[in-house]
Amino acid sequence: MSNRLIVSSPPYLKTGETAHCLMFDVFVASVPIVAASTFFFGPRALWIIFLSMSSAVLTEALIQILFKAPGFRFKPFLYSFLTNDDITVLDGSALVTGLLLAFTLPPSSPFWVPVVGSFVAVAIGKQVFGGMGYNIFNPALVGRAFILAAWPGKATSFTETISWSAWAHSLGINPTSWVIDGISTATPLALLKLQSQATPPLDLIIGSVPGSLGETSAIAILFGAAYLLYKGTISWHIPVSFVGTVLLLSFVLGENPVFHIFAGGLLLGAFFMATDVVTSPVTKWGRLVFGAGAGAVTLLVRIYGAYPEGVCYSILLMNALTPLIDRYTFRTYQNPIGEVSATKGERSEN
Amino acid sequence: MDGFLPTFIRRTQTPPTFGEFTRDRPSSKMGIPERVVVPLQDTHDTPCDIMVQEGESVRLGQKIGLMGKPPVSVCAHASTSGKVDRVGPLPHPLGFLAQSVSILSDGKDDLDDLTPLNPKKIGDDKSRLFEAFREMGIPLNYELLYGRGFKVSSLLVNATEFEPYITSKHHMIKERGQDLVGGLRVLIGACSASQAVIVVEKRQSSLVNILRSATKEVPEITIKTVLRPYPETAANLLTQKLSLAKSNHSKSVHAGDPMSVDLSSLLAINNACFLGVPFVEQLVTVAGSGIKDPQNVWVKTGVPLLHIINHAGGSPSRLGRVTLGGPLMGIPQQSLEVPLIKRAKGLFAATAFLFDEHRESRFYKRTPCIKCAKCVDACPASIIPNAIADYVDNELLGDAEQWGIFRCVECGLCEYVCPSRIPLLEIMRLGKVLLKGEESLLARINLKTLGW
Repeated sequence: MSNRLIVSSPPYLKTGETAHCLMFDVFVASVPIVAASTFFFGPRALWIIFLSMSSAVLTEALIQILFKAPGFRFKPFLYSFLTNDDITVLDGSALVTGLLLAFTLPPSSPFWVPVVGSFVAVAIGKQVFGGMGYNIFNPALVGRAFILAAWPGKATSFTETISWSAWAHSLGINPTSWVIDGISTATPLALLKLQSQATPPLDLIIGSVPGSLGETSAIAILFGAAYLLYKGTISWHIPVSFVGTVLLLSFVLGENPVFHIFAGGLLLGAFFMATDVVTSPVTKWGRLVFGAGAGAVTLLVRIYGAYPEGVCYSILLMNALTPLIDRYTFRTYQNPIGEVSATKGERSEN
Repeated sequence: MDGFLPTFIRRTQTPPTFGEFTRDRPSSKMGIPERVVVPLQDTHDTPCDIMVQEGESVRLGQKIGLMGKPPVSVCAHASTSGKVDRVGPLPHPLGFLAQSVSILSDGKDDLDDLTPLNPKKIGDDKSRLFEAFREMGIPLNYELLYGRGFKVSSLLVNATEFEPYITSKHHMIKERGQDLVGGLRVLIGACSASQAVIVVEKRQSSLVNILRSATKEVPEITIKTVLRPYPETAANLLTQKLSLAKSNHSKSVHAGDPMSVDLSSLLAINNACFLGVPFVEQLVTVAGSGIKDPQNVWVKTGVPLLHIINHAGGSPSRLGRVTLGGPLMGIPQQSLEVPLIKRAKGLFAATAFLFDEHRESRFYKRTPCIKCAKCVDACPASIIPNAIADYVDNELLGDAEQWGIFRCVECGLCEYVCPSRIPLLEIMRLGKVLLKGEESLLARINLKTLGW
């Protein structure tokens, strides 16, 4: 007997999975979406994603250095940045927020839109509430809602998909003109709402329609979602009830269900935004209720509301209801057994 | 390092069984130990009665003490022959000093005069039969039996292996299947039960076959299979799952609730009835990264853990953590001098390499709950561990109780899956202690001082 034995609370086995792994899964899952948006909207999509992500990380780092890390020493900056426990930028959640916010922006946005949007998303959407794990609303959608409210023109002016031959041509003539002024046009949902003009479903599925960066290509989103479901990062409950509600309700209301599922940001919202673990219910029934509510609100906004698209607001609305949903659905889990009544009597002591 | 590097591989959210280390290896029998320590207390305030004095010589199977209050007290027996060299408080695996009898073996294992107790001879007098069981040192739920007048409607035998690494139940059924069924038949007759259910995991089809063939002539015994293993503490959940009790949503303990029986008790009943041997030997699995030669061993009750580890080829100087039981629900030990107790199914000994005290990476520190609901999905008791932990942390104990903290069976699966590395099981236990108002060390510690 030479060394001391460690005594601590069980269990002594862990999955080895940390929050970083969950964030990394989201990056992997968004690779096809980034590829599709670059293909359809040109290199500008990458530029917007880069701006949004770096703004989100810088905002989070700055806020944490200023407010959350009192012992931060500025002289060995990099060292104290990497070793300070209060600075949790490296967990990747800010990067995910920036990435998801970029997916909701139009490809023709000016450069300051993703920057300001990410700042608002991280500062007001997340850090105000206490950082990762404490936010009430999905930070990326807070940023999106802010942009939509502050600059409705910038947030809803969409351009046609890029013509790569024209882009290469312009590059050859004038290498500095990386930015193409696209022709302004309307998204499929706006077309339907304002001009009663339907878009062919194949275009919607492939993604060669105007729209936000990440939302147009249903195939890319479904590839990413399949990876997330395979890894177990998201559970099937919210996407299935979200999409299922839209399907059923559009049947009932006499709309085209296929169009409503593949148009707009519904799939992106159902698989990437609504499944944000922090802001969705923890009980399984709660997740189903959450998805159904978000689906219903989305479709009602699309059909009867003033906006052509309602995914963002529907998810934010259901985020606000998440604690309530948890409180009312945990009872389905509760079949008191055994000791519960025996311990009830002793409680009066407290 | 596992959490640091993300992988593309799907992670299963249930712990691996690690059964391959010991399942297919034959079990061994440990020789006569130098010394056994028989504890006579289960908790620090269990009443006990010591029947031997220091310097007295005892024989194998001789009664040396009584454990528990007189109507439901259980005898303790010397598990080897030799001289009593110490009587008094000695370390117990549950972490307190228990009144124990330490016996220095003479290396002979002289048997005491044993008479098999014959249930048929005892006849209809149930109290005499259970008194005989108690004298043979067989651990059963005597409080329940005496409370109900020795009548139990059904018996529940949980033969699933919940703990990773531990395969002692598997081996016990494989080696002593007939004896187990014999003990169960005696017990069914003794408490006039109408049925007995043995629960086996579905993937262990060989055990199902063994038990099916052994119970062919006993219509009262049914074999049921479940997909996931259940811990010992989850007898209530198993009752619900198999709908053995009449009302699944009963708020109190019903008269129709089944009594859960341990496999080792069944074997002990069989030995007592047909051989006359008291409960002095049990099967434990010794496994873990610190064990060179993981195996199942038949060990005498009360052998210090050090001897068992040496028998399995572990070097005590390399060990970093030793637990009685498996790595999910085991009881951590601070010393290897403590004896093996009757409840133990296994011994998990790991080297210090994997969980160094000084590991300071931020990736292994507790981070805020991200409400990923992995704990909710993993919980066999269908409670919401993250919410309850939140309530306990903020000292809202009433809410914690309302959200079902007492349904927790302390299986540790929530903490196993938690990506935020929250010590959920520890918080649950703390909440229970605080709620019950027990005067314990934990209860007096303010939560905030622990840095939660």
